[in-house]
Amino acid sequence: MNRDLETLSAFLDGETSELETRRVMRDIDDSELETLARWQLARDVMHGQASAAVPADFNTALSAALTAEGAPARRPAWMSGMARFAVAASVAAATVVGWQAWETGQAGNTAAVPALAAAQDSRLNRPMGEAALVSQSLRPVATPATAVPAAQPRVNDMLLRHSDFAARHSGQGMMPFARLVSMDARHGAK
Amino acid sequence: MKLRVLALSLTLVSPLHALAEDGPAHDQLQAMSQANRSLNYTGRFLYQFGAEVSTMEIRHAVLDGKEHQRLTHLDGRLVEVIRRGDEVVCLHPDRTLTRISRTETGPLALAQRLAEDVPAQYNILVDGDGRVAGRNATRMRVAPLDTHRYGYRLWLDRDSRLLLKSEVVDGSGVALERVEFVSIELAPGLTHADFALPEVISQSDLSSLPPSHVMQKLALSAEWLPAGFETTGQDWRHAEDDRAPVAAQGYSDGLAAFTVFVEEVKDGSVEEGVSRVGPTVAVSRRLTAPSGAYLVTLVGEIPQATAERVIQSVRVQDASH
Repeated sequence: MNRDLETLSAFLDGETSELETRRVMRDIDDSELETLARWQLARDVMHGQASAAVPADFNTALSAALTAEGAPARRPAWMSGMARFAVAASVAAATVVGWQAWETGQAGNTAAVPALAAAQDSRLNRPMGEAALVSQSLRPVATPATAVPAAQPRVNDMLLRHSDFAARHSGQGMMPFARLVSMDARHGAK
Repeated sequence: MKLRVLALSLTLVSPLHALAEDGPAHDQLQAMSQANRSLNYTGRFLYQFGAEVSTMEIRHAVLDGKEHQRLTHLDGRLVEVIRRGDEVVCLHPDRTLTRISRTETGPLALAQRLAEDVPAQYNILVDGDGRVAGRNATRMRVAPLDTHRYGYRLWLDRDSRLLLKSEVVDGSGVALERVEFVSIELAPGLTHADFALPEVISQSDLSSLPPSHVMQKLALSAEWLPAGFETTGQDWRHAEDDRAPVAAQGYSDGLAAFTVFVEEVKDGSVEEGVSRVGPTVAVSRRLTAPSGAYLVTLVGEIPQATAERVIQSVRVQDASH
């Protein structure tokens, strides 16, 4: 049924109210589940395009960043997965903060604020608004990265180990593993 | 035990307690924890993490006295976590496999701590009735008493006590993470075949290091922790031989958990910062000790401000210096 493709879309983007969210989750049927899965896939593809991490001088170096496909060399490689994830999620959720580097003194503080504002503004532009990246590095752009893919498994290691600890010692039942599955499915495989 | 008494007294003074038909909130949580571990069931659920929604399937059974569980990602890429007793493996989308756990650190304590004593930093209330996956449910709230941890909203099956829905909520009541079953089947007749490992291309272990390794001399300590958080586990592992080992220290207040990782940094080329999705935050910070430079990273489900405060207080001591 198509009662609610719009609601479903909003739900996927986390833009439904508490009440609507509950209603969607209650009424969801198989075909809608399929639709959700398809959309999710489409979003993933788009994330793939939008997920190049953004250098410090984002505004001035936008085109350069897009063509260079340059990942910033100075980020722990595994974090790029998280950061990208955050970028994707930021479209809908103001609760997600993109990469914020600190320790650059005042410049860092002032630059971080626009990043947050951008995250909120982009809520209006889904799903293409993902181009409005909030991931931000405040350090000078490093020389083009070459070693990033090799270092990638670190993210998995840390998440795996944290999930294991959390599953053993927190009272959250299967949640730590569900988190792990979700993150790995989105960004684990290259 | 005093924690239990405190939690109990908190629920007793709450007017919401009047809504409970089945005894104190604490008993319900214990029953839930017990049900989740001891019952056989399969189900499909929606999983919302930040703004991402995925669909997953869970199979759970007790076979030969051991808990078996299999989580399968249904949309997008195929990822699975399979648990057989103390053995936990993660199957990645590229058909490789990582063994996460072995028996060396003792039995898994899924939700066990919750059953044994409710952490003193939370207030637990029975919140009324609800309906999830076509089943009648009891709504509960687990509210933190300070700002250093998230709260939870739980929906428990009236009949089986299984957890049908749960939300991790921040201080303003926004759900950061949500699990909600859309269908659940009790006693589905699962066998060992349901938890068999599929063919994989390659396997890797997050192997423990021998005690003689230099990283073992590193002592990791946090000078400030939120009330109730204690160390839970510690290990030093590396995934591959050619990679520097990373030390890890786990912390938990009984519900929430975070892990602090320390790795040696050869040059100054790593960047500090913070990243967040849903309830999970990752914070990285460089740290210089007499013995060298390190990158300290915290990964966990706690508020960002708390994570940053913890990581500021982390100290590394190298016993060999």
